[in-house]
Amino acid sequence: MRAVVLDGSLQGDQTSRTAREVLEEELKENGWKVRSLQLRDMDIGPCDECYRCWTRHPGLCASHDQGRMIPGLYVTSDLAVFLSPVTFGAYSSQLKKALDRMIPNVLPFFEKYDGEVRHRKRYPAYPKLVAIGILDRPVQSGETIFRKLVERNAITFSAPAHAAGFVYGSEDQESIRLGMRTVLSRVGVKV
Amino acid sequence: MTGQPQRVLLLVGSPRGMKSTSASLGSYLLQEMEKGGTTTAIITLSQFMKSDEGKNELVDAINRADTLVFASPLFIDSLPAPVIDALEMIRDRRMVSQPPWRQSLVALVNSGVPEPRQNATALAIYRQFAEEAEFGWAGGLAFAPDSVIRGKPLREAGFAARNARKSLELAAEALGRGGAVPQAAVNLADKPLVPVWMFLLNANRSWKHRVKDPAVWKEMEKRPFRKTA
Repeated sequence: MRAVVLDGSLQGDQTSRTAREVLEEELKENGWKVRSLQLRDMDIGPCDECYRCWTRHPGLCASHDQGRMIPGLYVTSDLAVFLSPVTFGAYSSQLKKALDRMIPNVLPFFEKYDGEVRHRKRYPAYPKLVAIGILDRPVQSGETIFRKLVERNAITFSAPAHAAGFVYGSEDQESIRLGMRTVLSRVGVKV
Repeated sequence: MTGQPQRVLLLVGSPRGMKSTSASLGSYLLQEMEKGGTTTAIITLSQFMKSDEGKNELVDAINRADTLVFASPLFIDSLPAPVIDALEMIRDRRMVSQPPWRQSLVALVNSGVPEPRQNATALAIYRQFAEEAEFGWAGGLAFAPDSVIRGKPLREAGFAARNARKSLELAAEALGRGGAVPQAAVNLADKPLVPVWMFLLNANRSWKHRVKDPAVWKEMEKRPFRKTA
């Protein structure tokens, strides 16, 4: 089983670092192959809405920077984990720059799904989705937006299961580990 | 909000800049506000976020404004990464210094799907930003007209864009008086511009015209990545 961790943390964020280390440990100890991407260190430009991933070379981004490999890593995984400081309730710009490059993974065509319109799937199966939001302390408004965003992403990315969890700056390693196990169990990942 | 806004700054968050639907919607709002004597200016975020000098100019422009209007497309259920990048920078700078007067913020979000409600999370993100960066929240409008407008000036976008125009006119009137975006404007923006069945028919057919190469058309559903054991 393969997992990809998209780490959108900022430089010097110790809580994110601990959360990622604990997550990787938990997955690897249970037989997962984990590929983690430290997005802030990668050359990933913004999506410029050229749509050549639909109209010129279907399924492949036209930009030849490191963002081009993100859709492939994502869709060939069984589990995708988004790790990010909660930024206005959303993901950081570091994580978002990678997610904006994922449109090659859907088709340009639309379909009606669960009462609303979305892009049709390009692939028969997509990974389960877990998003971990990092916060100094609980912030209800930000967490509510974050959960909703993850819910919407699960529709957009056709995730067969999804869950959102939070790690706070005040937590110790064991508390973070327990939280990771809880959120992973919500998508059926046994650790 | 109190007092009449005198200087309104539109920040366009689409990578297509002034050729975008975001710019069309924002520009229409500004034109309507200009009728009431408001001074307006427009900035494309992607252009100014490329360099430190550009970021400084962006912050200076923000610090001269009474009201900011962010206009951006929906990207993966949220705001485009360069917009989040700009919001992070603006919030951080405002924690150091900001103008002594209360500035307000309005958000316009548009998407390529026919249900404006899919923009709700993006509007909530803007609202959360306003709170954290200490702007007064003057409301937001969610539009779903991308395929109808396609970056055309809103006046030239025809009958289908009538509710978008009317919504922005109501919003301009209220903002010009120093108020917030009224519920009537929100309701008009929320109305689908075309029925869903018509949207699906037209949107799915339109790709046939946009894909020039017949060989590419045959491979539209290609899967370049496969799982390996």
